Amino acid sequence: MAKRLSFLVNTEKCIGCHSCEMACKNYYQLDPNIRWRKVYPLHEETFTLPERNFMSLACNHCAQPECLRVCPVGAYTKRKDGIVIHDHNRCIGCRLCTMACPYQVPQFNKKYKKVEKCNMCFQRIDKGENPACVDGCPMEAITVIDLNSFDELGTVEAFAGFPDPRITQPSVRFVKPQIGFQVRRDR
Amino acid sequence: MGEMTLVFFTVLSQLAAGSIVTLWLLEVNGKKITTETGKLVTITLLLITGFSILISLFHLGHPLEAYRALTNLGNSWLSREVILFTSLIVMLATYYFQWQEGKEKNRKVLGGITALVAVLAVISSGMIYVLPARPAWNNVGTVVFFILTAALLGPLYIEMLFTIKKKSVANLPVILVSIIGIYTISFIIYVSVLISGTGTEYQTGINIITSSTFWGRIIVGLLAPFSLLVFKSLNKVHNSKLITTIFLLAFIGEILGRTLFYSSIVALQIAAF
Amino acid sequence: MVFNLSFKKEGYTVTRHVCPRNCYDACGMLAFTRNGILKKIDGDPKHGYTRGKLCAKGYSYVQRVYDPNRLKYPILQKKRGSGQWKRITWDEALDIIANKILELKSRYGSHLSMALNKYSGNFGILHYAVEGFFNSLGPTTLAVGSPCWSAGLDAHFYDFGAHKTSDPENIKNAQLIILWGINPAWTAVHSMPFINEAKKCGAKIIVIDPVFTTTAKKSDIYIQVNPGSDGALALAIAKILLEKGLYDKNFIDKYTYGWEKFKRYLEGYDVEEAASLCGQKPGLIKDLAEMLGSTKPAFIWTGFGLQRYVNGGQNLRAINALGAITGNIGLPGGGVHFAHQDTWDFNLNFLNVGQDKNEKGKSTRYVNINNFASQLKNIEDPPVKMLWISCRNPITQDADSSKLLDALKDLELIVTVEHYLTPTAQYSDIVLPATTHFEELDVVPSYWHHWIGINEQAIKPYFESKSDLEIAQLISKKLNELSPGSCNFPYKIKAENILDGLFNEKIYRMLDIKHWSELRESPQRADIPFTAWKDRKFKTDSGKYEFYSHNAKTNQLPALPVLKKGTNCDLKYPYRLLTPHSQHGLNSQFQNLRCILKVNPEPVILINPKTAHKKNITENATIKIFNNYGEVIAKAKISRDIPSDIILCYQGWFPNINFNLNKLTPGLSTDMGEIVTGSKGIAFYNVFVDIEKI
Repeated sequence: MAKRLSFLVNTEKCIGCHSCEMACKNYYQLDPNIRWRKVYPLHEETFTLPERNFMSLACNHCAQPECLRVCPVGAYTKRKDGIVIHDHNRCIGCRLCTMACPYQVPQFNKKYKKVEKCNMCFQRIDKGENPACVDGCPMEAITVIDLNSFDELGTVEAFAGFPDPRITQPSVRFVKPQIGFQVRRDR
Repeated sequence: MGEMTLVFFTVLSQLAAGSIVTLWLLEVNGKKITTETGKLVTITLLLITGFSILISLFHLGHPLEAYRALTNLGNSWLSREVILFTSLIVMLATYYFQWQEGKEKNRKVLGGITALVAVLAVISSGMIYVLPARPAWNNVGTVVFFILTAALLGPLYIEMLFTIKKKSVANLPVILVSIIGIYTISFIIYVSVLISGTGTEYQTGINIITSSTFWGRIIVGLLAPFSLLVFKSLNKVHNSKLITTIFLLAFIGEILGRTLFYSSIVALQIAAF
Repeated sequence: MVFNLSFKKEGYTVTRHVCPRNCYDACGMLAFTRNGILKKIDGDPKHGYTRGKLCAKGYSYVQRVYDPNRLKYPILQKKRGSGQWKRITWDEALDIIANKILELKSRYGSHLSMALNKYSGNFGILHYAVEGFFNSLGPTTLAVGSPCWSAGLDAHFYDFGAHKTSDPENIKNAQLIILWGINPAWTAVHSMPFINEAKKCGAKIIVIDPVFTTTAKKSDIYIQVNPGSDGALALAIAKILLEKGLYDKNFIDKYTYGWEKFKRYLEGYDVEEAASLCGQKPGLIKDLAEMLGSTKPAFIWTGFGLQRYVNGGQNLRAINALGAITGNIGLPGGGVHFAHQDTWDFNLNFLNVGQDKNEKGKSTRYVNINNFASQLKNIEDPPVKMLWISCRNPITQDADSSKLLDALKDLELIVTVEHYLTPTAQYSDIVLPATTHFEELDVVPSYWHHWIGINEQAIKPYFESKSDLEIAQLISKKLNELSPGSCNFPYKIKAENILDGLFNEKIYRMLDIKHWSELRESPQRADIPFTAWKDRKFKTDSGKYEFYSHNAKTNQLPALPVLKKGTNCDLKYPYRLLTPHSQHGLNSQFQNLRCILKVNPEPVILINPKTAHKKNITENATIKIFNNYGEVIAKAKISRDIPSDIILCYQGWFPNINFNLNKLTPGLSTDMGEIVTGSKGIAFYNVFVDIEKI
């Protein structure tokens, strides 16, 4: 049976330290302006929870990737295990995928004049290793799961403020944060 | 202003497409057009289309590798656009050579095919932007406005060239006045729908109406041409300066409008705002 | 000893490193080099505490090494502060410096007009070469003390007699964890998994902090207190523990000193007043006390922030007392933790401390690093004319930076050793490019975990950069060329051989190695008890935990942990300014890197929505915070992380942005600090400001 590899991000464990993002940047020595993985702080205004929750997001390797649909040169391919790979050599830098992705995943590199994005470290996956972000997270808050066999109980597809998963069916799941008891003071 | 190449490409190519359709329709409807005029019109359209495609290449990171853009015809509207505009160039060139005495019949058939390709090319341009990730574009409006640009600039361009050639099409200004009317009404409906919406649609709508470009485009591109066209029709003025002015105003209006199209859009975002 | 320190993996040469920054975690790292270029960094899986993981700063190190703005050559500034720099050779730089040193010596008859200001930019032990070089000249002027942790160290000295911590892994054994004024989610990320693990096993996590930190978010109970009122709260808890009989009589009887006196003090203590001081209700304090009194083991971790107050040391002593009253000290998973100094017993004989007296009977002048500006200005006979700065950026990190800038005007030569053109470097005459810990040999211990690791040399020094040790040796050599015998800092000896001398039997035994080069195979955990004070043999004069400290009394401090109020705001400057560490920087390091700027592009001023409303400030509006000492301008961020009487800015250095929070810090002293570090700390958080929209 084909796999559907997906990131599982445990936002209860996540402390928003950006290590995942920087571990990725370190592993691929990305341009300082390019972020294959990003840590988003979630704000109280859009969330019913208090501030200081974070969502670490890379490419969601969607079941129906918009990037793949719109790319005129066929630079995107979806592997049997679900990983969406962007072929840097095919890319001509039209940037349409940067408009089409609801998660702003593909980013245009001004130096190479091409787009690039997270490829779930497929070479590492093929060797049986974890992606760099997974290994880099001090909290072990990110894991790779196979959605075809993963029991999704206790996880969610999206938070409020997360673009509608029906558009591309992103392969990402989250463990929701819990709220502690707060005794604030204010005079 | 990163999208200026796309602004000029889309507006110029739509101007050309609109003109082809107008030219063909005029001839089919019995308007006598000299081969000299026909040649002038088609050669300029060929140049405009070619030029617009050239500009579009500069939007790419790697213009010389643009040929690869044909590879995803099955899914990608951009691939389809590339093939349609390439076909349009070929058809326009063929059409140009039909403007000789004795080729009227061929010309009408080929003109029809060229017009059809032109319309499809404009539709494909529009479809590229129908993206779920950009809700304000993800509707029929995008295609409608691309067609309206063609419908406004095309007849205006033909009228301008005809006037310069000391010819005129009696009822074109009247048609143009109604096109501007339809344009304005569609625009009002579109913006109202956006503003009455929520999320990114609402924000896009707000971006549009709070932009000075918006008011510039309304006045320069719609109100001014409308008034001048009414003036021209009522007073039966056949002055190439006047029609050139109207065309330029409308053209500038479309450029402003397209700039606004790209700059006002708000895409879906994560944990937005 | 043959040196072949690296190993190969997948075509990379891999070397071992330890992040030498002033940080709890002192992470073990591996550097991957190919063709002499540093390609990537990884966590060292053999490091038992950091376990192969790094923080965002750690993963940015390749950027830090190769950042286009990193200094490549020695540079000379035409006029100080002019920004007109000229590249000079090392020889020219050394000539200028050595001639100045000798000229000052002949002018004043000693080297006392030479001052050194160095601190925690790099905690590698070979960096003490700078102090060693200064001492080798004879008596000089040295800045001593610490802007960071002095009050807390003294508080622990009074109570425990020494500084010990349990291994952080010990947190897993706790049933109750009180994170008191500490935000490990930002400043010690590798401790968070242990906290999580304890939580999973049923431990309750309580965070006590004026700021709703990320750690607070992750806790079960967050209690917001008034800044500086921690002691009031701790004493109130102590009183309730006493009233309810929730204290460990056995522990108190056997292992503590001065309980009766402390008990009497507590009997007269007013919980209501304490509650109002810390901005909480007495009911809550009762609940807290009951939880602490009935849950064992309780692991209390006190941060550095809460001792940066005029009453910081007292506050810490009060919290320490809670650990003793409840008998948690010495329990696995229990105790009160601040920082330890157990793995720092190197033979620092290359410091040449013995030489600090000269034949004329003059001895080294020690000036308070926290009061450096005033002392620099006022010191006479001889006045300070030359300043050497290494591992520091005092212009943004020291209190009252305007005063410091003013004091520096009178100096004839300022030399700064740096990686980047920091504000301090910008205000120097000569800036010497320093190597990073990938370009030099060193050994780095930690003050939180118990591991020691090595920094091998992974790559050649970046352009003409040199290590602190090499620079010290070069000047020593130059001085001896110009004036033989003028400096006896050893300049022929290699770094490896100096390390041989720094290590001693005690350290080797502790690390269970025969030679420091074995550290290239793995960082080593020092063999010190997993649980601090397990033997309950305290290092105080009485050998017991001292509620009552004669030493404190001798130093004109209250002998008991008692309530001491801090300073309060006044009508003119009604907001307290807190300037804790930022998430993406370490003091003034890291924030200048492009990849970090991408994540955190500019400084912000956090204000509570109520304050924003009152002052008519909207999100992202440019606002000014100001007091008598100066003003700072930045964008407003409206946040419920802080209450309405606090303004918060994370400290750090942003290149090209004029944002120096220490312009606002008057530099009041903390109550303690001179015993352990040589001078009192800075009360960084006794700062009051007003804000306005501009």
